Amino acid sequence: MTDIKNSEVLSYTLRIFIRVIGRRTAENFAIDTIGAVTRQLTEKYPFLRYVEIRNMIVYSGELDAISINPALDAVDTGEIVKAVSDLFDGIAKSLGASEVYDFDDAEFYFINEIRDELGEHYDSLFRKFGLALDVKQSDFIINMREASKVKIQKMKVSDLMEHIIRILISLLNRQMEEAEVIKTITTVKKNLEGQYDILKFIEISSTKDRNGIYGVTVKPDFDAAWTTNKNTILEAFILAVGKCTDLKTRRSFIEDFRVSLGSKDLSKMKKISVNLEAIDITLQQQIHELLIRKTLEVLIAIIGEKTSISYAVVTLGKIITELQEKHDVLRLMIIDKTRFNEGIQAFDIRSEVNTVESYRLGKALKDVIKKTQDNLEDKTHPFVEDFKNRIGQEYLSEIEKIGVNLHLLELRKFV
Amino acid sequence: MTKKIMLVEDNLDLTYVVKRRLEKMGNEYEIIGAPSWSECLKLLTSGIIPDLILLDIMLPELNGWDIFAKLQERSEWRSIPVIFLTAKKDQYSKGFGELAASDYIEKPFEIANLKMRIDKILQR
Repeated sequence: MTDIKNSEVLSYTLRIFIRVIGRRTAENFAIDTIGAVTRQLTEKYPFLRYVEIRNMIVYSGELDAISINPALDAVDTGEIVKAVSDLFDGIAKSLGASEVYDFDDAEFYFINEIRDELGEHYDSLFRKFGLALDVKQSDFIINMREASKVKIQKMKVSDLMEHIIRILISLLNRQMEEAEVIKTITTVKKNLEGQYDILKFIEISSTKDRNGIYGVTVKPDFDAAWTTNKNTILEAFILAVGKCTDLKTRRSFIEDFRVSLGSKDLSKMKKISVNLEAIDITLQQQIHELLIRKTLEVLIAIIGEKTSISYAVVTLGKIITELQEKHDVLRLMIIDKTRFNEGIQAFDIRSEVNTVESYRLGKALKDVIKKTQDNLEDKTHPFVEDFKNRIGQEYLSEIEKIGVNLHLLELRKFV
Repeated sequence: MTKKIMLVEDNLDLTYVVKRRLEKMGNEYEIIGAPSWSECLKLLTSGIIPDLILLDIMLPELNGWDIFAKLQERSEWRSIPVIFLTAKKDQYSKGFGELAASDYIEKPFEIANLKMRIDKILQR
């Protein structure tokens, strides 16, 4: 039938399996996986009992992971190739269900790599006995996808969720005090709980433990309640926290998140289909919202310092209402009349502001600032200077870009 | 018809003077005193809705700025004109006071001037 002995065929093939899978994971993992699948197939192919696969890490001192009894050479080669075919399927199934193996990448290289390593001679030998590796590749991809579906369903994400929250805390901590960060994340969680009940299984402590760390606990119930659309929950959470960032933090928010998360958890996120790029695009498109928020926040601070926060909100509300006829965009800034004392939180800035032409928003914001300035009897008072100092260079240059010329407003006091 | 004016002021002597003198000037106004937000609230919720409120800023419990904001929370109170009546003379307080309120009058003030400004607002 063939000039190569069965023992050589199987030994060579198994070694290639170990090498290819071992390269992606670890050699001992590859040996364990292939060993387990081979043992499972012994019932169907009794001659596989002549094959012994030992983990070299466990059995240190052994020279070879694979040893084959020459009795195998008496078996029909066709049967051997059938067993090899089943080995492919069994390994695919096993890898697909494994947490270690990165099936996304594996899909595209696994069979090709084995085929390349086996060489043309073995490829045609297998084909001759009914094993077409190119067909096997298609089957492999299907099997992997099926297996991965099951794996995603069973995947435990409580650890991942905890890791994500801790990273979000550290990213927000770049722009605000830790206590404020915890308050913000807790509010985000609470707001999303109405939509995603599962978030109730997350506890974020408002006090530090004895190691000085805020407690983040994701209860095991979280995994049990974890259903489909896992990506939507994670995306909504990350996006909502991202929306709390300021201009500086936001620019690199998702990139920094990726770096902090690390490749292992990033790969998990990829498997769940969390689209970090889409979150980034959304966050970057919300610059108008940020500029409005910051401008109002600074005006509230200036007015509120001399009066009170609630009065400042009421005052800005009146200015905005007065100017709505002139600037339509101001209709997208709505005040919750029951939350005056919450400062900027009382404002609901509709996301449509992000699609308004920048120059229109610039004109509206300029008039809001101008109107506030107008009511200061003594025009020598450095209101605009105060505003510029409080808003900071980063925001200043952004609002100037959209046409809020603060220098001209400053010059008005000399007119 | 007599118009009701609520004076939210913790200085009862001042309330007495304003009440006595304004009420005497042509019987146009009835002055109702409220020394704090809780008293003011009590009157408002009991159905006494004044035509105008004279509001001091430095008050116990809740200051005048916050009282103003409270008055904006309810639609039935939102339309009541408010004049700040205060000893705060800094330009920011005056400027911001005038931004949302109907007027801002610094203490001490002439009763005749106060009446003139109240008249102006109520005739609008």
